[in-house]
Amino acid sequence: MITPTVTITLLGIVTVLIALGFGERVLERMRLNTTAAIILLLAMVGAHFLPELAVFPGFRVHLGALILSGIVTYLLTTTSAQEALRGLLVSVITGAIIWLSDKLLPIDPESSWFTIDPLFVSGIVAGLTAYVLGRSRRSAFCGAILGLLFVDIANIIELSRLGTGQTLEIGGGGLLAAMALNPLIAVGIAEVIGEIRERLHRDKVLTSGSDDNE
Amino acid sequence: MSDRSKMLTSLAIAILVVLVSLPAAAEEYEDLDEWLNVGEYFQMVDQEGNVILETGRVLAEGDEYLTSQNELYRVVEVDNDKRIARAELVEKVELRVVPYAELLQSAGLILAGNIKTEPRGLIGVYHTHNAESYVPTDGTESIYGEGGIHKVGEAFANSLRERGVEVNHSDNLHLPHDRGAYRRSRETALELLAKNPDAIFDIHRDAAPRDAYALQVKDEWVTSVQFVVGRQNQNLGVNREFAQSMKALADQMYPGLVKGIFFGRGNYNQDLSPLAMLVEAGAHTNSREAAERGISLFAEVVDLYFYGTAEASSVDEGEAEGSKAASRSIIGLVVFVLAGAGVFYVINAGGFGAALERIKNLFGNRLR
Repeated sequence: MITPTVTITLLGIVTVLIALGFGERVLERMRLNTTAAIILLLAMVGAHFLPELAVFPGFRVHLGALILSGIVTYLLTTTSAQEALRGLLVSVITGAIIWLSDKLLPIDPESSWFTIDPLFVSGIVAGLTAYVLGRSRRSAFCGAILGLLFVDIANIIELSRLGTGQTLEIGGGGLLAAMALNPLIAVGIAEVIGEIRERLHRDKVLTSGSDDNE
Repeated sequence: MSDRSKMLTSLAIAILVVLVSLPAAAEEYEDLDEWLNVGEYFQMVDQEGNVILETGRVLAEGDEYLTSQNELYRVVEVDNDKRIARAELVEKVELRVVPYAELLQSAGLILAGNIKTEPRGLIGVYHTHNAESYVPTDGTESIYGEGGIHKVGEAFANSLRERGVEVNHSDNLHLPHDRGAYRRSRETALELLAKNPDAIFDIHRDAAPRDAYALQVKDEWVTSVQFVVGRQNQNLGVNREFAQSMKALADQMYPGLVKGIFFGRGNYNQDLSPLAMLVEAGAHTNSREAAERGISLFAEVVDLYFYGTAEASSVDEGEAEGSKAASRSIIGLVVFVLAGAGVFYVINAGGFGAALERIKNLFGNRLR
C-alpha cells in the first residue's frame, strides 16, 4: 500500500504551482524560465522511477542520482565562475555538516538540541549556508544535492575500508528521495529568509554578490 | 589557466581532501555513534519520582510514553546531566482494537465496504540498524554487519510463515551505523512497500537494563516488545491508532508483551506508510533467544490482527477515532502548507493589497 511519498507529492505540487505562474521571481533569480523549471522538476520526479545500474559486482549507481547530478552540472556550468564556486562551497559545507551530524549525534533522530530529522538536514543547511554566502537560490539548490552526494561518497570510502561486504551504492539507499526533496527545502529557506530580509532593508542597497544581481 | 579554472581546480582539490579525511576521522569518533554509552540510561519519572521508562534514548520535552497500564505521560522537564526526564500524566487511555479494514479507511487506502478477501497477505520486515546485537548471546552489543537483530527478525518472519503469512524479510544493510541509517533504510522501506504488503515492521532492539524487557509467559522467559511512533510524520494519527490497536490486542492475548509505546521526535520513515511500525524487541542486555521467543509471540498478535477474527469487526460503525485522527493530520498538513504559502506570497508581493493585485493580474492574464 504505497502512499505517495512526501518527495513526489511536493515535487508535483511545486510543478503545478510553477505551471500556474507562481514562483516566477524565484525562477528569475535562479536564471531559469518556466519551461526549463518544469522540465527540471519532471526530471526529478522521473528520477525516482529509474533503476540502479550494477557498474561492477558490489558497486551500484542509481540512474536517478545521475539525472540529478546532471541537473546540478547544468546549473553550475551555465552561471558565472563566482556563482559556480559558491555553489560548490555550499555543497562542501553542507556535506561536512550532514556527515558530522550523522557521526556525532544519536543514531535515532533524537537529540537534546538537534531535532532536525536526518532526512531534512541537507536542505536546511544548504538553504542557510547558501543565503549566508551570497543570497543565492541556485547555490542552495545545488548544495542540497551535492552535499548529500558527497556524504554518500564518504560513506562508500568508509565502508570499503571496513570491508563489511555491503553493496556500495551511489544514490541508492534512500538517498535519491532526500536528494530530490532537499533542494526544494533549501531554495524555500533561502527565498523566505531572503524575502523577509530584503523587505526589511527595502530602502538600503544590498551589495554582496548573488545570483540575484549578477 | 583562467581565474575560473584556478578556482574550480582549487575547490576540486579541497573537496577531494575533505572526502578522504572524513572517513579517517570517522574512526576517531566511532565511539560517539551510540545514543549514550553502553550501560547509561535515561529515566522517565512521574511526579512522585517513580520510574516509568528506562532507555538508552535521549529523552526531550514533549516526548510521550504510553505505559503497559495504558497511562499516557508527557515529558515536561529534562535534566540532561542527571539523565532524568520528568513527565506528567496526560490521561489514562482506553485502548480498543481498531479493525484493520477500518484503519485502511482511516488512511484513505480503501473505500468503505471494499474489504479484501484473501485469507493471508504479505508482511514486510527490515532492520534500519543492522548492527544491533544482544550481549549475553552475541558477545557484544553491536556487530558491524548483520547483527543479532537479523536473527530476531528471522524468528518473527518464521513465526508468521508458520501461520501461513507470506513474509518479505529484507537483509539489506544500511551501514555505516550512524544517524544517516534512516536515510539509507528509506529505500528498503520503499522496496518492501512496492510489493503491496499489509504492513512493514522495522525491527530493532533497545538499550535498557535487562529487567526493563524481561517477561515471564507461562514457564518461559521472553522479552517484551515496545513500539516507537515518530511525531514528525503526516501519518501520525493512523500510526498511533495502529500501534494502540496492536497493543490492545496483545494485552488480551499476552498481557505485558507490549511494554509500551514511545512517541518520539523524527519520522522513522513512518511518513511512507500509515502501517509502518518500529518495534523494539528486547534490549542489548537480554539474550537473543529470549528476544526471539518474545517476537514470535508478537507474530501471533500480528497474525490475529491482520488475518484473524479481529478483522471481522464491522466497518460501518460510522467514522472511527482513527479516521478522525487521520483527517486531522491531513487537514493540519494542508492548512500549514497553505498558510505558509499565503504568508510568503504576501511578503513577496509587499503587502496584502499588492498580493491581491498580483492574483487579479495573474488570473486576468490567464483568462484573457
